[in-house]
Amino acid sequence: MWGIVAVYFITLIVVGILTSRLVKNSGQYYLGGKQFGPVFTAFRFASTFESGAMMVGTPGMAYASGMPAFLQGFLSPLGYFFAFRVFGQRLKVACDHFNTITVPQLLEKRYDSRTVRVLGSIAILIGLIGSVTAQLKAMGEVFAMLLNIPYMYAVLIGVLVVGIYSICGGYLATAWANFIQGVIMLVGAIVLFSYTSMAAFGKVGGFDFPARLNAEIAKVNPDMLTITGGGQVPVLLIIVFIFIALTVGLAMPQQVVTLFSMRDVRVARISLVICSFFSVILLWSLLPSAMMAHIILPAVDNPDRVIPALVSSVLPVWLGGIFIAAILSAIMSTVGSIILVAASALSQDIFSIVAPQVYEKHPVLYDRIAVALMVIIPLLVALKPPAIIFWIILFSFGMIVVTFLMPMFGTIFWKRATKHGAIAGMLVGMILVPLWAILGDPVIPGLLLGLIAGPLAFIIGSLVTQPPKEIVEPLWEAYSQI
Amino acid sequence: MVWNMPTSSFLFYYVLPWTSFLFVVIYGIFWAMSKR
Repeated sequence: MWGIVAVYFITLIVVGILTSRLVKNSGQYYLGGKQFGPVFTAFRFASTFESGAMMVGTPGMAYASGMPAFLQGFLSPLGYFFAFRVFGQRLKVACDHFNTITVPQLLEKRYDSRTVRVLGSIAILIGLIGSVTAQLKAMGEVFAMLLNIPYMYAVLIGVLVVGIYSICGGYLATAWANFIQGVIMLVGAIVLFSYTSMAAFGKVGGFDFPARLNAEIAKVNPDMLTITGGGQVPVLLIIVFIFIALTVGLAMPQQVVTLFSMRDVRVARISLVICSFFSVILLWSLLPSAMMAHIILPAVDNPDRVIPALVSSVLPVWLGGIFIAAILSAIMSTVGSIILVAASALSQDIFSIVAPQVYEKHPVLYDRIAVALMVIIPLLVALKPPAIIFWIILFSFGMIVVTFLMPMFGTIFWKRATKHGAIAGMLVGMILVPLWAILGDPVIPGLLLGLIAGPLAFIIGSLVTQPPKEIVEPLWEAYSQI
Repeated sequence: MVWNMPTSSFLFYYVLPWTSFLFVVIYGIFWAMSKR
């Protein structure tokens, strides 16, 4: 088992070293030279989106509460539809039109305002450091559990591998890594499903599979088959899931850069199909597998341990190694993409503004240093988390979404949007959402409040000022060419 | 009851997601094949 995990790690490091030779400038380092076709685009987009939660946490929820766990994933195809069909092509055209590398740069050009760029970079740094730390902690815990090593070594090994390939090869390395990781995730999920259903029913799948599984689940607890799982699925939670799915391609910079890196706008079309298959295969093999654990395993106390327990009981040792590599892949692909985006905000949007002469001398070197910092800082935080980080993790997702949603929307859909509107909307995300988290989310969750207040501030701020026509008109002309 | 689960749950967790998946995939294929 260790052998397979070691092969997986070594492959990733080799990818990092090989791709590092191809990097000549920042555009190549952070966007891989914008040369990616549908397969790489789709695998990067989907594997970044599906984090470790999809491989461990969500199946655990399916084991514990049944059908409601499917909520987390069944909107994914619609989410990909919005990402590629509704937003993707325009985002790609805007990125090429302004010749930008990062999301804050795109906003700067569209709104003709350096303030917007700086605000965007700060939001990315704070928000994504929170996300990276949360993912690193999860990675350490899962590695420690699966490989049976202490948490500290687990975090160190995982970070070392992600760190090496991200620092060396930048976007190109993470794109290759995400492709390899995506393939391993799919193979692992299908293998686990096949072996689990052999153990449970003596055959794989079949048209009567859902009926048989449901009959068995009904014996354990019939409530697990109802819409709410016997408990109350909070309406707010459903709204949040729908919302996340529909905005993933617009408000999350680590996803948006994948759209920037496409070879041309047509790539979005096949990517949409591949992404949809990706999420459906993962969802419909992992969640039913976890539910079948009720048939073949004695009761498991901690739902997060269901998948590891299945792996050790139904899979042969060497296939268990592949599945563990799949879980590691899910986490590492997300971590790698986030680290790269956070680093691009640091070097491209902050360092290059503060010290342009120094940066321009060796841009790729400073880009690499930025990635190294983005690996080391969250690592130190994850090894010994200070109290403030739990609080940052709490609001980081809401902050990123609220800060970027409306300015990005204005970039691709609303001509009337102005820099004052964008700044007002971003400040709501960066101040109100964290403040609401300090107050303990009174009355409504900070994310929802931000989603009401952010757009209001954005619209009002835009309507009372005038947009720069000389920037907007050529951009809309470019959109009309799609 | 369909497939041993309540009909409402069947519609919500089986029919709805698979319909949306098929819609997106078929749309995507036609979109990819179109000239423009």
